Amino acid sequence: MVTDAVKIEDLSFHYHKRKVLEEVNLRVPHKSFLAIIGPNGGGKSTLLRMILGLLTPEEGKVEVFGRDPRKAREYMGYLPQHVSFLHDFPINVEDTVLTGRYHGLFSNYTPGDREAVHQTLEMVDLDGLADRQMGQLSGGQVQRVFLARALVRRPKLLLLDEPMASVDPQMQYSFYQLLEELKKKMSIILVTHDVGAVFDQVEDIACLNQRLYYHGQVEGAGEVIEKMYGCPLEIITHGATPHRMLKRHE
Amino acid sequence: MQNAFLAAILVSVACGVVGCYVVIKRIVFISGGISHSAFGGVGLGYFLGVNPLLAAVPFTLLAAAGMGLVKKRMEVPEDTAIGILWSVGMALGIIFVNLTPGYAPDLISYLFGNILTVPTTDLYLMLLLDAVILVMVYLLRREFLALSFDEEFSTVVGMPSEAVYYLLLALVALSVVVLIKVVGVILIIALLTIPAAITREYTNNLNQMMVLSVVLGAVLTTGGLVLSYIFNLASGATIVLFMALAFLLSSFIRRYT
Ligand SMILES: Nc1ncnc2c1ncn2[C@@H]1O[C@H](COP(=O)(O)OP(=O)(O)OP(=O)(O)O)[C@@H](O)[C@H]1O
Ligand SMILES: [Mg+2]
Repeated sequence: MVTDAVKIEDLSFHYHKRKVLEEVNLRVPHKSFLAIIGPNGGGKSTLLRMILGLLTPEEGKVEVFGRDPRKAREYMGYLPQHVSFLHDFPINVEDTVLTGRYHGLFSNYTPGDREAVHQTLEMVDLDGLADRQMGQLSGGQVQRVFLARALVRRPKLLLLDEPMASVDPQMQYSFYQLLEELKKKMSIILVTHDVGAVFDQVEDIACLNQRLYYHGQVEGAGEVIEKMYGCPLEIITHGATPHRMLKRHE
Repeated sequence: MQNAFLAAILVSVACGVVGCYVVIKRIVFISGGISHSAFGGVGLGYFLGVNPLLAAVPFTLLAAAGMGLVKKRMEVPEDTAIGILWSVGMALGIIFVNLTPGYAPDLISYLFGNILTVPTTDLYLMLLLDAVILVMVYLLRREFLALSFDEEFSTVVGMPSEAVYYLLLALVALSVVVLIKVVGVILIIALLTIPAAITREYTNNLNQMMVLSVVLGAVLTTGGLVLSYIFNLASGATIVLFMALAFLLSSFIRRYT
């Protein structure tokens, strides 16, 4: 039997007294590509942080490759939704990505690690900026550095929390192409608000708003999404492929 | 006078290296709290009749652990908790001194520092603490850098980040003890921040920043020492003001050139 990348059973979680996740059940088979969508405050980032073992479930169970999440960290790559760092923090792009290759106390980074950093920076089109200080990058470039930092571990499970925020269309396009490649090698969970792109690129979708309202094929999800966001989906056509967008209530 | 110059050098090592973390990890306020609460240790030393500096080592380490614990485990706003521990430490120091029979000689020098009266035994202790600090920083340089930059991500890549955070605070505690004799608990935070705050404007590399801060710290401390000697002013305060002046000048130069 092949173990699932992620298995979540009856998971509930509160922040202080506010319920954030309620009886969530989710199974992500290995090498699948799942998009999670849902309104602001729906608990998407919280769910990722539970999968990473940064938060401990109050009820229910989270397993990553059949293990406690905290014991499965070597398999996971993570791109957080926000990273706030000091504008003039003395660290450059290369060393930032290098932290993604951390091996443990007292063990140095190897030449192989640096090689991996440079390959990954090429993948996200940043190979020219390895020496640049982090504070001197644009918002989109910073986002790409953090994507590289997540990928440089060669994870088996990649967790991306709104990676498209502040990335330009050109990069978004190559990003989805990159994900196409990556999903042959690893499991991917992508949190996004870009419903249109999800419909084009992803087969599997989960809609989260405290509870998990839907998990399955994208094609069947339209109605649930409309209900969850409280506004209708509209199909527009430009070029050859029909696009779906959320339409605001009049 | 020779002891004073040696003390200035020993102080610069601690404040240059650890000060860099204090500034980039933004733990200035927590470090201020740790340094003030060190006064409790000084008082304890008087009370027990041991070298106050020696008693300050375990006491300050405990205070640092307390600060860390409050930040990581309790639901009190961080600045509130620091404010409380800060004053509790000082209050304990006063009470210990009260309870000590006789009067406490050179108590004031632990508050405001007096680099001219550092005894040789204290120099040895400072040297030892500097060595411990340097070894810790060398061994944990990857962890301290990653943790300072992004604590959550450090955890994600499998670092025992909470333990590393405590070790960082322990580092601050040890440097506080190194600095007590020279500037006193009240002025320590200036030495932990100013040299690093100046040099971070001039380099993008943490190792360079540390070396520069140590050198700059040594220059400014000895400069302040000489000035205090010439004008017959309190050494700790003169050193701090001299450093602040350098900071102003440097900011000015960075802005207008
Ligand atoms: N550290 C925290 N302390 C207290 N409450 C929190 C904390 N983090 C999140 N919350 C609350 O938990 C709920 C879920 O937050 P979460 O960040 O998981 O939402 P999200 O789905 O990622 O939203 P967004 O689309 O805005 O990123 C929100 O109501 C939020 O206010
Ligand atoms: Mg979120």
